[in-house]
Amino acid sequence: MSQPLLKVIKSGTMSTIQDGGRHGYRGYGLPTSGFMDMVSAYQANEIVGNQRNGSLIEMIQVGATLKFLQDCAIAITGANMSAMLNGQIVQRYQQISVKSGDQLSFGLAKSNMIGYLAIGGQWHIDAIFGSTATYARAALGGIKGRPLKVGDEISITPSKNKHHHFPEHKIWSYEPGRVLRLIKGPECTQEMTKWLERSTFKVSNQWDRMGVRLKTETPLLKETFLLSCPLAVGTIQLPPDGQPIAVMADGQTTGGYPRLGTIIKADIAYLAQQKPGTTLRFAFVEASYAINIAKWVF
Amino acid sequence: MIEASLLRFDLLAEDCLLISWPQKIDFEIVMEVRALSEYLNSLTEVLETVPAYASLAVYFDMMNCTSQHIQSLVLNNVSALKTQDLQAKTWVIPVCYDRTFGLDHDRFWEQCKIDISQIIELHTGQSFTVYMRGFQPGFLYLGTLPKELNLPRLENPRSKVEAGSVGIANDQTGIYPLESPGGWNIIGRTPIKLFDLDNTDPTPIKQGDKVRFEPIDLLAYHSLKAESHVPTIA
Repeated sequence: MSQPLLKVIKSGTMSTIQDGGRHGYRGYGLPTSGFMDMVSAYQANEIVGNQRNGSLIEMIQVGATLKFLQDCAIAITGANMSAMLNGQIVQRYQQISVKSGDQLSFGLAKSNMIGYLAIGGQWHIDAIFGSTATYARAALGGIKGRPLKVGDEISITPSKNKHHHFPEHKIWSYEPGRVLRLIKGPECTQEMTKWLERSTFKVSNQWDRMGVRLKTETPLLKETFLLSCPLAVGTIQLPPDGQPIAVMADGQTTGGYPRLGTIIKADIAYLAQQKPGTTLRFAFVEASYAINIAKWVF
Repeated sequence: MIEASLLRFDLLAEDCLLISWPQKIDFEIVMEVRALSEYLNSLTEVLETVPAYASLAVYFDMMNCTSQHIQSLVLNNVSALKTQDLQAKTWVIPVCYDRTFGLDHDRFWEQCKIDISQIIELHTGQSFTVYMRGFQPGFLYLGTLPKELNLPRLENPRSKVEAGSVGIANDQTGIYPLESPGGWNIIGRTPIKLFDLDNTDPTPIKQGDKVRFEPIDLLAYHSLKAESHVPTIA
């Protein structure tokens, strides 16, 4: 067993070990889990020279405070959580060298929701079904299947990294006000299409790694129940109260409400970063357009 | 196998083709979903499939393959698939219907006028078809229940249902393999492990298989629980 590299001093709201996700088990009802904002997570891993699907720490809303027990290289991406290294402000989206004994603290996410901390090297976390991603509802992955707790230690063998320059233009903007693009769902009628494109939605407080509940002042009330059918990450369902739900990384693999559409992969990262109260709008796009964007971005 | 013209194809995500049958609960459709799922899982282009009652999601390698390619493979091969060739198994699952576990026995008495002994008799008197797995890891949807046992879901779902709980919702029965919130009427609990993290095939019970429930008492429940049993074939 290698030496611990990181010790948790404060856990934050919901800090978990995540990676590119657990694939191949959706047919058993097991969600993929993994990064909520794939774009920021890939970038953090890229900056420290790890594989982009590799393990890192995802922090939601209020970040953790961590103590380093070995020298290593780190990168912080995603939401601005006012990261401080030994009390000094540190920048995001660049490689930072830290020394044994250094303390890194994160505060409240300012304008967005999720921050990522990548650490260059080999993470020693047991993979379950091929992934280290924490899925707390089934108590699997990460550390004992749960979010990080005070006193947890994480073993990582740090790698010797070359300096990596991450150009500023590659940083995504998560400013509110963008229109989320959707691939049309199988149960989406003409009425639903018009309603979804013409209504304004807000991200509600019912927000977790399973799903994001949206709210509108003009709900579309439909008492439609389906035979349970597959959902993808990003699928928007319409429950009878007319307030749509977007499936996120830990979300159900099947459901029984009409599927209005699925948010394109590039925009799922954007939705994941929006705080409760943010206004959202939707527009449908052609499937071929969505596929081209996905190939270009990922 | 089904006429290909009755299948509907949608793109559920950039990397996911959704195949839908006519939407009804039908044993033959369930077996067709399984047959097509097994065929598609044998292809290198296919990453994984999610079978449901009358639909199948097919995740494919978006960088090297298109949904049109998967669709044409389905259309060209569907007629040759034979549901008779599937190795459907029958499983026996022990259930303790003791009052300590059967949280909703009283609802059956109030609304269906049947008591515990009748619940047990009806629930263990026949085998049920596994229509699908899903919604949460290892959850099994089984049916169809005799009419006397039909009871709608709770209006206010419980925030916590214990692992192993056996429930009823309308004409279906299901098993919660993990502790979770849930709205099904709980009639008993099984001591056996239905989602095994140490096994690459965590749930051996597949769509289209049959399940028969076997009544056990509290003593047997606790001894089986201590031995951490997995499902057995009848």
